[in-house]
Amino acid sequence: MTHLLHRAAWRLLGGLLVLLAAASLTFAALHLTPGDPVTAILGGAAANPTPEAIAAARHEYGLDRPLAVQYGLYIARIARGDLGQSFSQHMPVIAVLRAQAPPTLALMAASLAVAWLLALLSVVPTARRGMAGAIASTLETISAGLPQFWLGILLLWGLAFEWRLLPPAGNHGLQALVLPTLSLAIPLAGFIAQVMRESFDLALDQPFILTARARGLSDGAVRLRHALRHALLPCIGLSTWAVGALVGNAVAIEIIFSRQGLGRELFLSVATHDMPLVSGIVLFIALTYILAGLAADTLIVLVDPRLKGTRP
Amino acid sequence: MILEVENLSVSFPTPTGEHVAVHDLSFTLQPGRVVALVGESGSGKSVTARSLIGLAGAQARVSARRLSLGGQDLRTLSPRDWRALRGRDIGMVLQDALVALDPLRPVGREIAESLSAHKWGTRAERNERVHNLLEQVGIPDPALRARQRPDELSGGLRQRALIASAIALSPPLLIADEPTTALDPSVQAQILRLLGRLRDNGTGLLLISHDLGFVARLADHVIVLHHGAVVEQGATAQVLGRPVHAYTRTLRDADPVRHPPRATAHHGTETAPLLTADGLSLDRRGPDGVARPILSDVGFSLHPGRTLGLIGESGSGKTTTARIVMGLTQPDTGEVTFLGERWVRGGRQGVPEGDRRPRRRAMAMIYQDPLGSFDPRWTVRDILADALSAAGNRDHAIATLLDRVRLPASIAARRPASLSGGQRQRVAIARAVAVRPALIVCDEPVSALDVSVQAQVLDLLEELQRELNMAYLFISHDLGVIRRMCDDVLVMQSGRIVEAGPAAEILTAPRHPFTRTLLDAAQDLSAA
Amino acid sequence: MTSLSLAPSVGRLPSRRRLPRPGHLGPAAAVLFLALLSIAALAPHLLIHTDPLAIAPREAFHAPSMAHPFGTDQSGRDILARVIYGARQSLALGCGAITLSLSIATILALIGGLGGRIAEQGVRWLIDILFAFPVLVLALLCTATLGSGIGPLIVAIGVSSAAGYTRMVFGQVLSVRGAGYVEAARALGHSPARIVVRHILPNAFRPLVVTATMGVGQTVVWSAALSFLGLGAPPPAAEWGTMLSMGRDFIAEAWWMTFFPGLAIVVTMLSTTIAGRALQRAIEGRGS
Repeated sequence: MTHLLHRAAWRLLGGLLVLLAAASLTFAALHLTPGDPVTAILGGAAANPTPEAIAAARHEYGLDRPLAVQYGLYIARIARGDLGQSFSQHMPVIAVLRAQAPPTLALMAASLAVAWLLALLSVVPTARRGMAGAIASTLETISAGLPQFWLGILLLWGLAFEWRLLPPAGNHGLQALVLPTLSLAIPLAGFIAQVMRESFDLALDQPFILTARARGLSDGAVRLRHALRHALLPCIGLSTWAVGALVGNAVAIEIIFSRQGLGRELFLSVATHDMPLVSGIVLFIALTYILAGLAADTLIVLVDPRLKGTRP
Repeated sequence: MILEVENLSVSFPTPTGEHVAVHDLSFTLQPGRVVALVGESGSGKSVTARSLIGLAGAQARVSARRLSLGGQDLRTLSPRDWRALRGRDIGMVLQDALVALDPLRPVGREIAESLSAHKWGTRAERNERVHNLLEQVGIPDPALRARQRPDELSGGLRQRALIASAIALSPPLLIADEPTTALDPSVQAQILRLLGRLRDNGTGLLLISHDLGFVARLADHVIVLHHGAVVEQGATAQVLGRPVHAYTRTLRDADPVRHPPRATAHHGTETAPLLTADGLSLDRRGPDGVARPILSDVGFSLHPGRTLGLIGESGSGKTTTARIVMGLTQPDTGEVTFLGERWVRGGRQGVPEGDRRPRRRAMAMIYQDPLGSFDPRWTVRDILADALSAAGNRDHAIATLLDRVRLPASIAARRPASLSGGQRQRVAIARAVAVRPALIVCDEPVSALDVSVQAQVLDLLEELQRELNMAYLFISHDLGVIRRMCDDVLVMQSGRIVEAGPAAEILTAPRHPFTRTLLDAAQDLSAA
Repeated sequence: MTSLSLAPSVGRLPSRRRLPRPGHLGPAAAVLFLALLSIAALAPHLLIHTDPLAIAPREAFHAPSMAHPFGTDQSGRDILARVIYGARQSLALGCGAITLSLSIATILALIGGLGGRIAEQGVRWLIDILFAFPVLVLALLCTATLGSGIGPLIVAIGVSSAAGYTRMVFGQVLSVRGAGYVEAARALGHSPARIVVRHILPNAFRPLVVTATMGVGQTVVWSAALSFLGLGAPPPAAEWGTMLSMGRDFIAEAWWMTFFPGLAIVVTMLSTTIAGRALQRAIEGRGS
């Protein structure tokens, strides 16, 4: 029991360390960015702040103090949950996150689910089955190589403009989610399927598969009840990585489909040098990644109970 | 009459032509009888077993003049018929339950699957049957064991659980493919008794094994296979007692048990010991964070030119002892002295590797799996040249070295991955003797080899020892090998030495109860 | 399923070794395409004589035809010529970024793998931390501080993708460090320096050729994504990502403006993947 607590504590410490690193990174980005941060804080060069206002802001944000003190203040503010003010949006960064995170999280969840579904459909019935396996494997390699933004534009052209099956843009309803989800899910499905196929093939060569067949189990049952569970393990780890990759790829997709969301917001804030917002979004993404990692660790132990107690 | 096989042949297409794995095999198996297929790796034993259960693979071409089970013609079965037959009419047991049972599922679920695959009973009835089966194969506390995974059970228990899953529907024919390979002798003896009981209850048993001792104890009829062809078959006593064919004789005589025990010379003991170990202990933290002793207070000494055997079951600390002696693992406490100087000291104040390095060439090691110890980029020539240069020998006498281990000079240009197991082990031996060591640590050097190859490698090791006056620290779980090779023996159990002394004494009149169990198990298996 | 036939066992079939097997066609095509790509990058005029920047307003938005196999864009520029000339920038981005990324990865992996326990734990932590930053997010953050253009883009992608490659190379160094042959060399009394030079470095970095080959394709895709967002070469430069981003505005009228530059990216990525896998098989085949 103490060992379990010990592990949980380690895990928490690791997560905090990642967050601290994320905060430090954004602090560095903030200070390496050309231009005076005060001008940015006061609404950019276009806002034309008075020298008094600049001096006041400089003092308020502690920008007249040594860099180490500023760093300490910055971390302390973030620890309190104060991510600062977005000057391009004229509201607190927290409020922007609250508005923009849900559509992106929905898009990510849908993409991950569809990608898993496609990967399972592609691998489970075809693994180690001669021609069918070779064809499916080729399709997986091609899908994994498709750039999401290109796929997105082509889907937009084909399904929204030529055939008018689905709305080309927007956030409203499930229909608007279909095209962006497919654009993100198809390449991801290719990635997951490649990993799954490799481990599925390996699993099918194991002696316990022969034992199961010798019991009179059908090929389908052997695949679903025995081989699949073994093939899932590496894919769960991969999904943690995929959560991060999805956020990155969502940038272009949200722009192409004119969707609200963190990706588009990240791009816009980078373009306007709205560093508080950039930092806030990056911190949020790191947090999402940490939580995804925790979820994956829990799932992996469910699939492979042997790992109980062995993972640090 | 249950199983009739007449002129069975199995072949596989390869890029260079048809490979015939089994050729013209014929035999019959009746209820309550045991037929054994024996042979070395690549002889076609396992392919035969898989063909009889319809699982030789999609590529396999199986043909036979007659292939029938209980009057049913197996040659014309559809995939669906085969499925109905497997598990119900034929059961199959593979070696090593750790991988032959699904490692992610409790053994109870695996056994129940044998029942549910044939729609046997309700869920409750199946559960009850699983518990009965576990009891039947001698597993105490079946309710608890059924919920455990193979990795949570001991080697003996999980092998029994595997057998329980194969006999769940009481098939009249059971195929056991190397059912005891890689198990400790005491567990092998238990499995032997269990299979014997099944036979007595009327099951027909097709036993596949490379272990003649095991076969002799169980089989009524023996078929010797070599490269897919039958070289000899007949009643067990006939074939193994008075073999007609030269290959069968080779196989039988290669069994280390048949070799006379080592004639222990008393040389060496009067001089100072080459190596002494004293009070070696090591703890390791388990996955739950609790430290467990791996070794406790292990000590011994080894004299020049002599062989010290280290025996014990898996996990008893043999390999850890060898690694500490090699200076590759640092012990918590204790000391090793080698060539009169301190070689290893336990704890934080260990001997620095730099102090050991100049003396390392006096000690060499031979591993169970030599392939991993060779750099995959290197040819045999590179490997041996590297070892020779470590000994400061610049004349690159590679041909001499290869000749010494009875390998043709042409092998120098090849990579170890393309060599056979026996050839690889010879290269490993050549590398070891290249540095002219005073001591070679041999960690299960022959346990991965076929018996006939095993005998050749052991001959070679003996010969080199005589020529070069080397001492061996010889680890093996095989008492036959130990009897043949060793002057002195240490018996290890759970990280402790429970008995030590001259081999002739310990192997004939053991004092410690554990040694006696080990010997009894080995006796059970080898008395032909 | 097993085929149980009564046919007598067949003798040796004629050898089929000489014929090219279908398994070799993929790698051959991949290598051929990569060779063409290199020519396009180094000497595009050898492949096509059309000027990729020549404007011909009267030929705007022509669909693919014999004269313009890939069609023309809104200013009448030939898309095929632009795709061919675009290879230079795309490949320069890809190769530059992967070189930077693998250099960082190699240095960190060596520090972590050979620098003692503290360095090893430090590199582990660094990898864990950097993994929380998705490549494209980190690259966007980098361009926010570095500005846009080819140079900053190479740095942004090179730095951002280093975490993944570091984990790969670091894992390789660790597995080689713990290999049986390294222990065997220690047991022979070889010095640590000799073991590092003769065993650890060659074996740990042999798979790097494969990683680099596959990595070029992946970084081409990433840099195209950033160019697509307007962070690379400004239009009308012939660069695949930039071309895609221009074509997007005319997707309803001229799909070919988007399709062909994207196809070039996809085929590049596929070729490097297939060639990389073939290389891997060749290396492993020699090893085991």
